Amino acid sequence: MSASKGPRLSRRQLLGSSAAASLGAIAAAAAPASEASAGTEPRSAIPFYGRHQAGVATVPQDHLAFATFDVAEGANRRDVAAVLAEWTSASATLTAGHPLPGPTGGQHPPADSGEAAGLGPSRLTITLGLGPDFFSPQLGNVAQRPADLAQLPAYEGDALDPVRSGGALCVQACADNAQSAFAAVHALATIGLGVLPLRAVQAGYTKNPTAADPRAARDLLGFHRTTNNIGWDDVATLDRHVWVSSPTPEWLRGGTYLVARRIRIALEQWGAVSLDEQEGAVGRFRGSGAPLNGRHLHDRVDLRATGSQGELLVPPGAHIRVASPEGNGGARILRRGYTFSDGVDPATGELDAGTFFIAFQKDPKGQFGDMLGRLVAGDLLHRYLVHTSSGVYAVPRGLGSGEDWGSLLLGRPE
Amino acid sequence: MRARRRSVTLLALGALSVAGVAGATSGATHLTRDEQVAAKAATTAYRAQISQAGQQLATSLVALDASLADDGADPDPAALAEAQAAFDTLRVQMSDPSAASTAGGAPTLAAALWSPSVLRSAHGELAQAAPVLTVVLGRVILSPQSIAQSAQRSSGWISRTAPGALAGSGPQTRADLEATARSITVTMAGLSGIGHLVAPDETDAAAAGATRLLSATSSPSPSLRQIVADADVLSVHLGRLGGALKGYGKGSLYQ
Repeated sequence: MSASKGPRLSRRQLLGSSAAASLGAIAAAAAPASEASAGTEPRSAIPFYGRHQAGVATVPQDHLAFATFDVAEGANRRDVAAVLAEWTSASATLTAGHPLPGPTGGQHPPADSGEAAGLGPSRLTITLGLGPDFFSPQLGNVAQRPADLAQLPAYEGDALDPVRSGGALCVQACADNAQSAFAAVHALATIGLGVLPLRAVQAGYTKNPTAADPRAARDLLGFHRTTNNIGWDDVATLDRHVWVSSPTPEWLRGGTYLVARRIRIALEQWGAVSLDEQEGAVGRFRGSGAPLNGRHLHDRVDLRATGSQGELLVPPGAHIRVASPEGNGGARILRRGYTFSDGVDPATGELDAGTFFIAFQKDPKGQFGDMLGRLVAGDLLHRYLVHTSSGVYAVPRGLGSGEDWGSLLLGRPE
Repeated sequence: MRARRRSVTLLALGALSVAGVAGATSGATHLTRDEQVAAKAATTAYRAQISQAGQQLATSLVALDASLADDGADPDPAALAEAQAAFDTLRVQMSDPSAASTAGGAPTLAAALWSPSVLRSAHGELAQAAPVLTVVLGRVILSPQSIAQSAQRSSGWISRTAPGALAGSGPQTRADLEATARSITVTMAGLSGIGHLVAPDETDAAAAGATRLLSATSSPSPSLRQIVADADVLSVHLGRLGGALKGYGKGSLYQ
C-alpha cells in the first residue's frame, strides 16, 4: 500500500471537536435556505442516492476534478470507515447544492470552504472508486477485494508517473462549473486529512452539447469527442457492458469498474502532419465528424465500406476501427473523458495537454485492457499519444438513503 | 512457440502491404522528366536504405540466435547493438499499423531486442525470421511523399521516446535515438533531388533540421529539451515537405 508518512493529525484535531461542530451545525442550519434565496436557486441537482452511483451513466458535465487518495500509514479500519461515512453525508449535501453543515465563522474555521457558495448544485456528481490498494491487511479487508480489480500491465510506450497512477481510492467530481467540481474534492480532502491523504488531482474540461448549443465537444486533436459511445439512457447496453451483476462482493453489484488514463497528446507532432493523415489516423473527417465512410457526425461506422479503388474507406489502422466493438469481440465501454491542459512539461518544453480518459465497464481487463493492447499495437493515432497515468478502481453500487460508504465497505465503526 | 512463429510470419505480411500504400498517391500531373527521374531516384534510394537495414537486421538476428545456443548464454552484444540499430531504421515500416497483420509481429521482435528475457525465449526463432525479413523489406517501395512521412514518424518517435531513453526509464536508450536520427539524415539525402525541384526551402530546412537532431542525439551530454525541440521542428518541416511532394511518384513509376 502506498502510504503517506509524517505526523498524523486526527480529524477531530483538524476540524474541531464534534461538540463544536454540532453547535456550528445549529448555527448553520439556515445556510442552505439563504444560499438558495440569493438569486441562485439551485437547479439541476442530480440525486446522490440511487441504485447506481451518479457520475457514471450521467449525461456528462463540462468540468472534472479527479482525485486519488492513499490510506495513511497509521490509519486503521475504524478511522477510514469514519471518513467514508463523513464523505457520504458531505457528498449528499454538496451535490444538493448546499454548504457543509458546521461552524460558519466567528471563532471557528468555517466547515464549508465557501468556494461553491451561490453556484447551486451545478449538476455536481461525486463518484467513489476503490483501487487495489484499498484492500490490505492494514484495513483487514483483503478477502473483500474483487477478483477483477487489478492494475493494468505496462504497455509499450507508456510513461506512467507513479504518483499520478494508482491510489487506494479515487473520487470523480463532475459539475457544470470548474469551481464546484474542485470544491467537492477540496471538501473531501479536508475531511480525509490525516487518514486518507491526497495522492493526485487532475482537472479536466470539455464542452458538452446542450439543447441551446448542440455542437458536440472537440478534443485537442481537433476532432469531435466521444462519438459512437454507449447511450446514457441505454439501459440494456449499460446492463450488458457496464454494470456488474455477477456474484461478487455485494457492494459491487450494481457498481462498475472505472479505468482512468492520463493521455498526453504530442500536440507538436500531431500539428505537423497533414489533415489527410490526421483523418486517416482517427477514421473520421475533422470538420463534420463523420466517419470516413459517411457524411454526417452520427452516420453509422461501416468498417467494410470501400472506395472506387477497392480501398477501405476507414483505413486498417484508424482509431475507430481498432477500437470498434467489431474489432474487440463485441466489447464496449462507456467513455467519459475530459480534456486537460497543464501548462508546459518542464523536462521537454512541450505542451502538457491531452485527454484524461475515463471509461466504465464491468470487466476492466477483458473490455478495456484487451482493447488498449490492440490500440497500442495497431492504432495509427497511438503514435501521437503518451499515457502518463493509469488507474483501475472498483466503483461500488449506489447507496440507499441512510446508507453510507463506511458501513457498506468496512462495516460500521466500532 | 507456435504463437511466436505466427507473429514472425505476420510481420512479413505487414511489411509487404506497405508497398501497396505507395501506389495510392495521386495529385501532381505533367511531371517533367527531371521530376520523374528525381522522384524515382528518391524511391530507389529509400528502397536501398531499407533493404540494407533489413539485411543488417537479418544478419545480426542470425548471429544473435547463434550466441544464444547455449542455455543461459548472454547474447552477443555486438550483434544485439547492430540489430537494434537496424530496427531503429526500420521501425516505421515494421510497425506501420496500416497493415493490421503487423499487430503481433513488430512488437514481438521489438520486445525481444530490448528485453533480455524475451530475447532468450525467442532463441531458435530469430534466425528463422531473418530470410523472410530480407525478402520482404527489399520490396518496400514508397513515393517521395510517403518517404517524407516516414521520416516524420521517425522524428515523432524520437520526440516521444527521448524522455524515457535519457532518463533510463524506457527500453530504448540514447543510442536508439542517435541511430534513428542518423537514418533520417540518410533519408533526407535521398529526398534531396526531388525536394530541391519541388520545394527547395523546405528541403533545406528539413535537411538542416535532421542534421541538428543528429547532433543533439549524438552529443556526449545530450539535452532532452534540445532533442525534443529539434525533433518537433524537424517534424514541421517534414510535414510541409511531404505536402509539397504529394503526387510526385504516381502512376507507372512504381509499377
